[in-house]
Amino acid sequence: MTCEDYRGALIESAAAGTVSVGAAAAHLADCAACRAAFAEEQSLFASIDAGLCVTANAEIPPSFVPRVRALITEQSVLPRTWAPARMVFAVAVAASVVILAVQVARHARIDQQRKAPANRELASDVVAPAAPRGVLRSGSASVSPSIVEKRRSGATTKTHQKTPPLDIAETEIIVPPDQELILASYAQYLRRQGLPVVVVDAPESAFQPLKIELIQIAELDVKPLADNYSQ
Amino acid sequence: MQELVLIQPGRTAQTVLSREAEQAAVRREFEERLTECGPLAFRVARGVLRNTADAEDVAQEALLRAYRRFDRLRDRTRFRAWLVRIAFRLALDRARSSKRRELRETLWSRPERRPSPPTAEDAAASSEFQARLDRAMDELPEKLRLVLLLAAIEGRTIDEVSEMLGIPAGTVKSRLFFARKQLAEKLR
Repeated sequence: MTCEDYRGALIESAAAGTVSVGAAAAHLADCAACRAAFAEEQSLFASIDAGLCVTANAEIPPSFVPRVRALITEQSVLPRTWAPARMVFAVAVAASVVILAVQVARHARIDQQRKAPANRELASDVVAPAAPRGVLRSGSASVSPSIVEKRRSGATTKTHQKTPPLDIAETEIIVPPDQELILASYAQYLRRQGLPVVVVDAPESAFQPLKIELIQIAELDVKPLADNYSQ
Repeated sequence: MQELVLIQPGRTAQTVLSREAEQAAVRREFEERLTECGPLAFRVARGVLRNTADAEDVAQEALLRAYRRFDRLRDRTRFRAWLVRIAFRLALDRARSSKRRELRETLWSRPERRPSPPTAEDAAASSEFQARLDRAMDELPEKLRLVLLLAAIEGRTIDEVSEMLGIPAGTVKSRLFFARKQLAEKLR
């Protein structure tokens, strides 16, 4: 083996700070050049260690520890500085709760509006937007929820067809067309009572007078009675 | 909707007193450790920065940070390792910002922004070999650098460094070996 073959092993043993053993040690004993190179490596590592010691063991300024101690004494009130931090945290939590509550309320309102779209659709006539409990009609016929739905579905807006039927127990008051003033005052009275009231003009077609066709009777066949009866 | 009521407990005199007593105990405990570990923090910072004034600032900052968070340290026996890491990290940050500042100063050539002159101790240590060694140290990976520094401080043993960093002694040995080898390659 040549000197080059031992170089790596010798450098590593110098880096580790150990004495080479085995074949490398035998080669060192025989080869003066490698011995010199090894000594140079050891010297280099010794210089590195010395340099590291200089770097790492600098003298500590005598004022260092007392100054830090004084700073710590000044900072002994520091735990109180946690108060603003806690306050910020509490405010953040409160703000989060408020935002969450607003969001929940908003979603609940949206859901409610989705469930009862009929209330919105009758907005022009609805006095109070809550679920109507009473229906007043000026006309001569009563209108049930199913009729209202049918009327809506026949209207121009197609969205009405998808709306569920009203789930409301309606109280219907039927008045003739000439009693609209009385109807209005009664509706006003009900509104003051807090009852949601819908006043709707009934379509003309719904209040046409009842037409009854004449009874159709076939031609009568008149026959003379029997003799016994005539007597 | 549920109502949320935030109740802040009133600070009675007793709680204030007990809190103050607790603070005083924490301060006493920290001051005991300061005498032991303060110089270590300084030396770690000095090993990275190689400037006494900067190292003093950094070590002071590290100790103050450690004091502020001392009550949050669960295992007080790990204080030394904790402080060393804080000081090392702060020193690296300072070294990086110093390099950036020097670069800016070189570009702008403003004499009033030059760093503070080195102390007599710094000048004594700034031999040619030492300067090369410092440059080589700067190029080492952080893990190797910290182990090398700690092992060099007052001749600490591998076991002490291992305990301080919370890593196996074998890892410390291998890091030391590779660090010294890399330094030698740069200085050869």
